[in-house]
Amino acid sequence: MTVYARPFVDNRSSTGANRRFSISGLKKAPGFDRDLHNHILRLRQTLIAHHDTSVVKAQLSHMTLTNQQAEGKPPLTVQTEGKVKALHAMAKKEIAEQYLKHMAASVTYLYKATHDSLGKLHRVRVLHPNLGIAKMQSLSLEFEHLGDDRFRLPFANPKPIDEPTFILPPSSYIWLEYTQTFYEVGPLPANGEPIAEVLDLEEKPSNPTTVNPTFPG
Amino acid sequence: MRNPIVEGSEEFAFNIMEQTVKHFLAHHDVLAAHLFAKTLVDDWDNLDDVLRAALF
Repeated sequence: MTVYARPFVDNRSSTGANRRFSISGLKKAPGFDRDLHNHILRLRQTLIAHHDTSVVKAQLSHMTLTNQQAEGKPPLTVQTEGKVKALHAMAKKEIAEQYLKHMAASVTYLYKATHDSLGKLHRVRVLHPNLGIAKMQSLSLEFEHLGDDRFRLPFANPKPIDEPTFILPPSSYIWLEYTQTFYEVGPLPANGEPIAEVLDLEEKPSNPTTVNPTFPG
Repeated sequence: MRNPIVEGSEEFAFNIMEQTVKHFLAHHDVLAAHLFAKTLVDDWDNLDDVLRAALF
């Protein structure tokens, strides 16, 4: 719940930019359950990340004895108690299934939207090779030259992301790293003329969406 | 009123980079949430209450 909600709530980057993800496109995706989405965000804001006692009230109470026979005497307090309640888990499998259906629809949309976004960024680098150089960790890859102006598409992952060290070392935790790649194949033009052709000759997995947990070594 | 972002400017490139980062962060988190929800549904009958709560 907290992981799902994280991109959709205010979320500051190190530069101060707000990285909250707008659902303007996502909400139109087939299978996206807007009511459930809002419900999860509300639960996260009120009952999961915080104890919002205006939503689920905490109680403090006294038990008193009143002696009807002794007129004018104050009630006798004999017990004081407190009680709190917190959201703990889903109670029914059907609810978990509703969540799963919604999340599967969101993943399908986000895979394509991320791919499109990577494609836009790719075009920026193609058309404006000197823009944003300082902020992007670009690597040069060696393409296998197949003769003439033809090259084989390489499959190489970018450098892994460094893990932060706190009091406990990074290997104390399991990290979830996700990679998605946009690649351009076919004749690649410059100034309207094809100058090279990149061939996709590898067998690729049918579903390239993967989350790879990195386990401590 | 804010000036429109000019194509080819550093701000233009930064804006597209930020949009891509937002997509990656959202996609990563929703994928992870999907993974938890799938485990919760697939193993519902075998999980005890503590593990159901952890996956929630």
